[in-house]
Amino acid sequence: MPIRETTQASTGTTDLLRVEDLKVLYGDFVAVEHASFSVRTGECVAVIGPNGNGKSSLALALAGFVSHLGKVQFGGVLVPPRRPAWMVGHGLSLVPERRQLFPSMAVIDNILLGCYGWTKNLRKARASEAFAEALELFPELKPRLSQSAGTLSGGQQQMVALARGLAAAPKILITDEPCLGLAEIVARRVYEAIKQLNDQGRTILLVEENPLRALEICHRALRVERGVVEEAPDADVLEQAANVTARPERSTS
Amino acid sequence: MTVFGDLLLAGISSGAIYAVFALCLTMLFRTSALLNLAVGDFAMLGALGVDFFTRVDHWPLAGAIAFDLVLVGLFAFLYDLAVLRTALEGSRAREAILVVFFFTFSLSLFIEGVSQHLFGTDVHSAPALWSGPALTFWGLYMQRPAVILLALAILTGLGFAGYLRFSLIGKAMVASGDNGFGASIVGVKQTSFRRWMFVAMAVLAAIFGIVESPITGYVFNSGGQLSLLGLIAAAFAGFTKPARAVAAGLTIGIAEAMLGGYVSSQYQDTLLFAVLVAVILFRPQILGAASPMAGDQPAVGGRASRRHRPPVEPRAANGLLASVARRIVNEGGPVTLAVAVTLVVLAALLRLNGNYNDSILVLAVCFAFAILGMVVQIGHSNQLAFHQSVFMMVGAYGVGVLNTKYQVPVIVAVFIMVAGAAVVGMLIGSFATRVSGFALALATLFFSVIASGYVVFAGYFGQATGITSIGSIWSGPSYVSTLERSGAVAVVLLGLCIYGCARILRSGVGLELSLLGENEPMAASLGINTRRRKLEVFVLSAALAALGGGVFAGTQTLVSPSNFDQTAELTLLIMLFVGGRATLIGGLVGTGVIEYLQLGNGFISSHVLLVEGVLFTLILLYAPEGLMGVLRRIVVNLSRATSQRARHRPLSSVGLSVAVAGAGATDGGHAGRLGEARFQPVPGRTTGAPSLPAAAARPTGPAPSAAGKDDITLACRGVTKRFGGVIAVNEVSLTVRGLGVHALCGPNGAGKSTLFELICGGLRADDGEVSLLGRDVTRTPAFARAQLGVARTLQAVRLMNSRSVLDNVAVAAVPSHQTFLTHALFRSDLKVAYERAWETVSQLGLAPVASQSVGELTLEVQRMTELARALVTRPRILLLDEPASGLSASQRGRLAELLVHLGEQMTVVLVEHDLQMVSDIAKEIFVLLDGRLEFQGDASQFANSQLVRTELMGLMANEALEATSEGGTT
Repeated sequence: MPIRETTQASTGTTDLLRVEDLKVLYGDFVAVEHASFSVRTGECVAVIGPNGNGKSSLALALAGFVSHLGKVQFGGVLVPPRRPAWMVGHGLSLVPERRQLFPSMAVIDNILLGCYGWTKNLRKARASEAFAEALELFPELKPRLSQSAGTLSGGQQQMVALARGLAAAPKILITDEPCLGLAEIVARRVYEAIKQLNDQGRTILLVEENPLRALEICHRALRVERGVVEEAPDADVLEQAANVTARPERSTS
Repeated sequence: MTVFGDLLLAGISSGAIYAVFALCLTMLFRTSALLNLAVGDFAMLGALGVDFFTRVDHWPLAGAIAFDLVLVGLFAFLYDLAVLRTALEGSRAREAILVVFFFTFSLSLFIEGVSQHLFGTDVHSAPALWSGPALTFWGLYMQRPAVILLALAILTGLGFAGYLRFSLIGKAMVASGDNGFGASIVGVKQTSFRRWMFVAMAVLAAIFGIVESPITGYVFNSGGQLSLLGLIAAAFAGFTKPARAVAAGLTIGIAEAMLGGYVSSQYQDTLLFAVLVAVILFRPQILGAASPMAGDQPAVGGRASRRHRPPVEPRAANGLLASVARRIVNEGGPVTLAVAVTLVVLAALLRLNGNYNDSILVLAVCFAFAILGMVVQIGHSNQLAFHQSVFMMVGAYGVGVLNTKYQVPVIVAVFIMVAGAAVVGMLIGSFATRVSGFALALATLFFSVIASGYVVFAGYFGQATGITSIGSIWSGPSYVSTLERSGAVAVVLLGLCIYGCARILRSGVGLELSLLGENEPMAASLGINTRRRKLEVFVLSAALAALGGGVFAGTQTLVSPSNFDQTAELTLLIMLFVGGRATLIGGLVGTGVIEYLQLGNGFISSHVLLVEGVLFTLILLYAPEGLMGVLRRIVVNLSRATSQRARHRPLSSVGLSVAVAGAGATDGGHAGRLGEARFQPVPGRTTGAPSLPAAAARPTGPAPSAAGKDDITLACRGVTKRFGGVIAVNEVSLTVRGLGVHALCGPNGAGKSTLFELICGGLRADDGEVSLLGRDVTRTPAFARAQLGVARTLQAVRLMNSRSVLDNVAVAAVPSHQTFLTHALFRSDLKVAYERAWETVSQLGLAPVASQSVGELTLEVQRMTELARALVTRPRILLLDEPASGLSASQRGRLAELLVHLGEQMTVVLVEHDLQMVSDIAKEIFVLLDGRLEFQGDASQFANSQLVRTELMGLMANEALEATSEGGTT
């Protein structure tokens, strides 16, 4: 299994995103606690952990959708809480779980709206580099650009969601469960695209339930379990652990 | 031909008005899912303002228009800032449907109140912008303002359509209507869209009003009608496209003119609205995905629904005051409440004998009947429908006709009409309850327009005068006036109705209704026939309203259409919300308060619209539970303050840990004090007979008829479900035989939960068949499947958060979901339900937290509550969606033991990610990948399967990681 090395060449030395003692709250309910980590420019970092443990809450909080306590610095600036538009405008783009496309709108409009974070001008958006790049990410979408997004298959919708996220010209792209419910072959394609984006120097935070798959393309992983975030062990340990599990018996206590 | 041409032009002229208001409504709804029912009032404000500045202050026309528009815009902006912002954002965010209807309702009242004060009650109009004789086209006439209006409507419609299509901001507006959460993902600030669109549409409406007013002329309260006409046109455009809204408005105008010309000029509005309502009821899909209730947004929307306040039980309250207050706010029992209200009102009536205020009191009593029905239907079951004033009218006119034309005694006529209203309510309700939420509210909104529009012109019903010299209910002793005598009868009847409604609310059916109000699909999945319950409350509120109407006729001795028009419906709603919609006493108090405000003397009654508007807005914003809710809060705080010792109960980690901990190490004190048996599985499931939860053991139920060990309990054949282009479940065929634990595995999004929904009936399969316990249930609704013996829990816990653990379980423990609503009058079933619930709750170890509201408890306890709720129905098939997620490894171990025990009694099917647990306890395992069933076999085949190893490796790695981290920490 290919494990990618973090090299000085691919990642910068500055922290693009720095999180200190983050606590994510839904009303009184604490979804994530004591999260401290940072992501450097150019890195691809996975957020792993079992279902329902707070991974998506972390992603949503970073994108400004859920109220949080603690310090979140993005590009050296302290971010205001609960301001999604501010986050997009400053270069943090979320590709949410279950995609959240605009089902009755054309695919091309879906992608164009990705540009809304940095421009309100349609002509400017159409002519922009970010939009062109987003369109090129998945050439297989080209014949379907005028189709409405709701009629696409799950895999194609995921591609549109990624393209939309990319059209925001993000400094960091957070993708939440990009392979949710996708056939293996489609999931590979999506992963390939994410890896390609990272290879081009884009910083990625990838939320993924499956740690092995995540580590195929990520440099390192953060593990969220029951709301607690910690640095995950490196890939060798994970792989070994997985092999251990495959045996019929296991003692937990 | 010229007749046709004239009608066409007339239709286009009036259609232009509908079109412009439809346009305003659509554009706002498109961007913010908000209906501005005050849009007509903004138009009126525009016209009357310009008229005022030019006529009274002699300003030049242009200056007057400009200044007036600025004022309207400023007012709209301030309203948004002061009210809508608070209502829609932040922690005070209100339920969508409330915001959609009631805030702008009350705004409309407020504006009408203000303009009544400023502009008086005469008809005025702004000066015509283009004066002169009517234009002629091919021998047909059209007034000049109508031409401007038409041109304006078409131009703005096309302009908006173009803007939405050809600008990025326009596209973003469309997007936020399509998927609000998705729109904020790309950086759309929906709040500023809402604000500017609200202001822009108010100004636009004012412009339209200025242009249109020379044709029809406006009074201070003509706004409401205009808004309604626009609303219906917008509804037919599905609230989506501006061009379509204009077209719909014009079509409706033409249809109206044609109906008027060729069918009946008097009943044209009635006919038109009747047709439109029928269309909404039979084709609710025309409202489209735009319905604000359709968007089931994730929690990030922050629009938490906290409708029910927890039932308040101020503990250790000291002092007489506190205890009396507590009795009042907690309503007491049905008998106490009914007797208390009857006595108080009777005493007041006799005391006031002959005083002016007694007529107010009697009127309040008449409305109170309808309010009782509304408390049950709107407040308790959350079924927003606006048909009560119509049924009051049915009752009142029925009694009037029967008494004056057929000499039937009033009291007999009243009961005839109640029965009649129940039958009519059943007929109408069986259509109306096909839809719910937004469509139901919208369709019934026009009932009163239709009915009063008909009655005003019907000679049989005395046209606008109505029916006079109706007899009284009771002509008894003469030492009190007639009003008091009939009033006394009315009060006694009211007492009986209060008793009945209180019985219903405090019965098993009442519990079912509150779950129905909270979450309809969930209610259905617990075996509650939601459609029937909805119909029953519809009929109940119709019959009560008719009774109120009948009593009205029998006490006032005259009825006229204006008693029961849209204003009356609105008054009823204000009464309900101001008093407090969730409790009977709240509704009754509201009725008294509003009736007094409207008819009392002095400043308030002469400015009643204004006062009501402000009061309604404040209530919606700051005390959605109404005046009685406020009182209740005060009492609670009071008794908290006076109580000497604060009883503090640790909430932290009771629950599963308590439930299945072997020795009573945790929180043993509570359990011991409550003296309840606790479920303690014997360590190591191979040894001895386990002490099963009795609910699971089915002690009283019939022996499982699926006696054969390997009978098929659950089968799917070629089941397929598509969502748009996504195939979530793809030709899955699987068979589950006999008892025991069966597991469904697969990565996230593989279609496991969808398959569960297909089995339970929450979703219907596009293709294939589902059978349960040998019966084909492919077309069976969810509640009937539940009654067959299928229970389930959901991955995301869905409980009534403000209710206690016991309440939540008791809902499912109601002995029979088949009883009629009226059954509740005679037997409450509540005792049985709570006993059963208590049994299960205590056996699952939840006894210590049984009276706490679920929202305060930990996830584990909530999970156990949900499990208890499923078990209390004594299911034969138990479907569990990820029961272990979020639990620690040791908790999972105990859960696994519990599941194995349950598996000896029933078929357990669980969706699970913990593969170790699955292979430990499941006798058969199914693996779903990308919507297809890819593996089926027992644990050893599962362990050796190559497919499982490769496909589910990720899940395994997660477990392994967890094992290492747990090993590390302990």
